[in-house]
Amino acid sequence: MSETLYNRLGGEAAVDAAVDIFYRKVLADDRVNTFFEGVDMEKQAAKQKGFLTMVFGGPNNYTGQNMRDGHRHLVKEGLNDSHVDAIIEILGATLKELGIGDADIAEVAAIANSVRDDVLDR
Amino acid sequence: MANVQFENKTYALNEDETLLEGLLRHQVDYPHSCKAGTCQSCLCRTDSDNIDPTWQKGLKPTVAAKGYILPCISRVQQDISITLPSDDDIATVAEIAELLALSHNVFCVRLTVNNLDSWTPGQYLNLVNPNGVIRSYSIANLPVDDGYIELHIKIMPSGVMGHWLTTEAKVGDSVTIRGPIGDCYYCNPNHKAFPIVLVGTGTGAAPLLAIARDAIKQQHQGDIYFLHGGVTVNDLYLDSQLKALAEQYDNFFYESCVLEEQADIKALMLKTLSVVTKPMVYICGPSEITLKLKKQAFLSGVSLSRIYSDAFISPVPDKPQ
Repeated sequence: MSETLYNRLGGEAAVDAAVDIFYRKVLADDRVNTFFEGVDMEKQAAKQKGFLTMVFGGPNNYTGQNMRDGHRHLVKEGLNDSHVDAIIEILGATLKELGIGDADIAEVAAIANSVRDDVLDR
Repeated sequence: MANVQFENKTYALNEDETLLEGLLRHQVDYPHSCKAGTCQSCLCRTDSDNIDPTWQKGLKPTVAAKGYILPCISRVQQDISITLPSDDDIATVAEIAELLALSHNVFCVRLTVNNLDSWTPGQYLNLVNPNGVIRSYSIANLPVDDGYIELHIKIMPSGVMGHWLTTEAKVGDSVTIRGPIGDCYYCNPNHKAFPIVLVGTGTGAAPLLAIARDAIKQQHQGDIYFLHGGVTVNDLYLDSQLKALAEQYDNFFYESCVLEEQADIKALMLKTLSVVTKPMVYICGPSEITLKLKKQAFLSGVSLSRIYSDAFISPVPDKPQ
């Protein structure tokens, strides 16, 4: 297991493949899609690409502070643990659809979980 | 060692640093966020002839083709000059060549300029009248072929530009146009035969007509579907022109729908998308319906990278004095 998670998942090509599927699932999910009403879809997709690169263990410059600043306005609108759970679930379903194995999905979910407190500003 | 020119100043770049790193090292207040070629916050434009494709990773082809790059992933070997997208619409003087009504509420303005080839069919521009009123309109024709830029202006009851055009403006008057702007145009350098689905309501049909004519002119091999929606049949102001195109070209299909007859553009779009494979989708019109259609097209399975749209934003009316 010397290869990194990011390379095992397929690197940047995997992120590109995942972003449309992930974003489509998010917009179709009534638990979380209200937070995405009226956003610029291109800008949002670019941010999600950054997020996916991060949780895939890839090269990125996202910091806890970025995640905190980027979600603070949503926390005021009621963003809470249940929404983070839903996003991690959608992330898992996306990866499953791309044929990623359970062990790697768990590793991705763990990285996503590690920014939970930043996202929820606590 | 190369230099970067930005906002009339020149900054020396170190070996191996990106354009963005160089600008930030010189303490330039330059917009940025991810520094990884992802968020596109630092997008800028250059007129350099030596753009390396790696500087444009993830940009739509229509954006890349207009000389846009991402400084956070650009390492340059030669001097380069860059401008932010907000500063790159250049003012051009134009002359009104023709004014005509296309329907009960759509007015057509034809403008002559010296640099017709700069105005890509489907992009938009800002029209500034002699009173300083400024509004955005899409290029509705093939300027180089026609010899003029055509704009379709919806006449609103309290619309200032529409009022000026229909009551005061005369052929021969000078106006200023700024632009062109936007990534909503036909771009197919490798002559691929993908289907094109054009979806618009009202004067959203204007840029779509330009894009359709441009695709036909460039001998696009895939099918082209033009879907136009209106509230009443009177809103289908290009009906005869689009029917003529459908008669003339085997790969051009035109369908329309009007709300008054309970026919909905969203249903028409989804029906069309269900019968085509890997289409390029262009959606134009008033912002509310355009954003809804864009989301529906994406949810139905079209990749975001294959959806181009221009959402027309109505100006906020001035408060009465």
